[in-house]
Amino acid sequence: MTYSYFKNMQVNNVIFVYQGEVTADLVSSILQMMENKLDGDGEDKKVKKKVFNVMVECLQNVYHHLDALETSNVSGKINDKRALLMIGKEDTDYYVITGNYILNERVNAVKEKLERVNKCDKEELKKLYQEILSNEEMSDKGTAGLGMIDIARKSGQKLGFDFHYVNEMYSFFSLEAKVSRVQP
Amino acid sequence: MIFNTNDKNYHISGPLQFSYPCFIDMLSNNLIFMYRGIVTSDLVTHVLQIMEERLEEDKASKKTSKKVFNVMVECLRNVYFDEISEEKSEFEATAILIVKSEEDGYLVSTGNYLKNTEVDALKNRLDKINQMDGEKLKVYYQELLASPVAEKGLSSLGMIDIARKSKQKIAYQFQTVNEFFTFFTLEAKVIKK
Amino acid sequence: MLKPLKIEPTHKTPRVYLEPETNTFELGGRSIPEDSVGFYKPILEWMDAYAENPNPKTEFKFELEYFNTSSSKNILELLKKLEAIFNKGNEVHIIWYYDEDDEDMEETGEDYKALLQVPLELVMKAHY
Repeated sequence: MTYSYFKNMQVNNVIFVYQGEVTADLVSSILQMMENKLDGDGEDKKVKKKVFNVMVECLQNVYHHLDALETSNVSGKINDKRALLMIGKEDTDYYVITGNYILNERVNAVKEKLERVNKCDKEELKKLYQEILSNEEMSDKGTAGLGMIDIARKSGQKLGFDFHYVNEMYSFFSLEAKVSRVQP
Repeated sequence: MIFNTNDKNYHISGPLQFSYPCFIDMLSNNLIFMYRGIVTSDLVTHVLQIMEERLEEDKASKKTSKKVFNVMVECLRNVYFDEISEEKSEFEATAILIVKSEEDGYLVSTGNYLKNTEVDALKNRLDKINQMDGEKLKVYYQELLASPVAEKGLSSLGMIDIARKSKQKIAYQFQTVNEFFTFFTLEAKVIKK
Repeated sequence: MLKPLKIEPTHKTPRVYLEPETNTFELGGRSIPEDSVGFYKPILEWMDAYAENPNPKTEFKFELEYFNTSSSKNILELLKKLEAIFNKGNEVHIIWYYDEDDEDMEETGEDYKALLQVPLELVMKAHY
């Protein structure tokens, strides 16, 4: 079992995959590990910064998001703190993928938000970012709307996403952000 | 088995397409967690923390929790490196950790690369320990404790500890990768009490 | 006199040096804590106290390397407190440093500049 998992993960140039409960400390260790890895790989400073930024935002997004789910009244069947984190390096891009449960009732809103972000060009994203930054209420949960725009801005590419129906309560939501390994 | 993409709704390309199947696979196999990548001691600490909380949630007995925790500590010691030194390439520092919940207990499994030259010695040590019963393990443990020889990586002491705490033979597997490296898998199961 | 506020940096939180006596006001490094509100609360409270009796001239330096969106709101709050001091007729000068090759940090500086009336100067740090 163990070896087949390991081998499968190699196919997609995966730097790491984690599946399980996500805690703040775990996110920090992963970020630190990735930072060392990017340093060790001698990646371009600009690329390194962007990858790190996108990683922070994506990973913390999941962490905060899951926290939100925990407070809602959920069935004990699904361990709602479980998530998937995956970072990989392809010839042209780094990719950061996160996956987590999302309440079905929120799917449409998140989808619309993503579609809206994906339709924006650089200037529009900037405007949207400033708008939300100055209007949205501050919360200790972070600002998910702002996070998404920030990821899109720093990634400089369209966000990939995918929703899967799990049961009457939940869907599984995957988000992918890419950072080009060639920065102008 | 792992990336089952029979789902008709599936037309996402690139690595994103693996996200959902990966996750579903984990659920159907009852994996508590799975990590594959460079393993640092910091990461190990936090993974252990998560596991500790998880065992509490599972209402596992104190005894079982302690055992699982100890077995994890020993198994993980085998796979992490604080820094990627020159002798240990990134390739060698990349490992996999899996904790699986089974009906009667928990399965802890690690996998990592070894130099082919290290295989025989490790295998001999594992076999030696697997042949011993509880009493013999105890004696051997005390003997090794008193001996001044320090071993690198998964030590005999660590193995004995795993064997004693899991009360089972240690399952292992060596898979030759190429002329230099072998993939070594270790599996220890702790039965719920 | 208001006691200086000194917070040493960690791998997740920035260094914060606020010392009216020597006219030192600095925030630098990385700001990526999960709980940014908790981290910034004492800083914002300190700024409130400082605003009651500020120096005639306040020069505040931001020298951030990374920050997450959860910090961005708090940083805006901090900037707004500086703006309030400025609006009361005090001299306030904010310098936003960014690395030569860090266009994201430059853009964020521009974002803040667009949202504020208080003078905010963007300064590039060249590599030597």
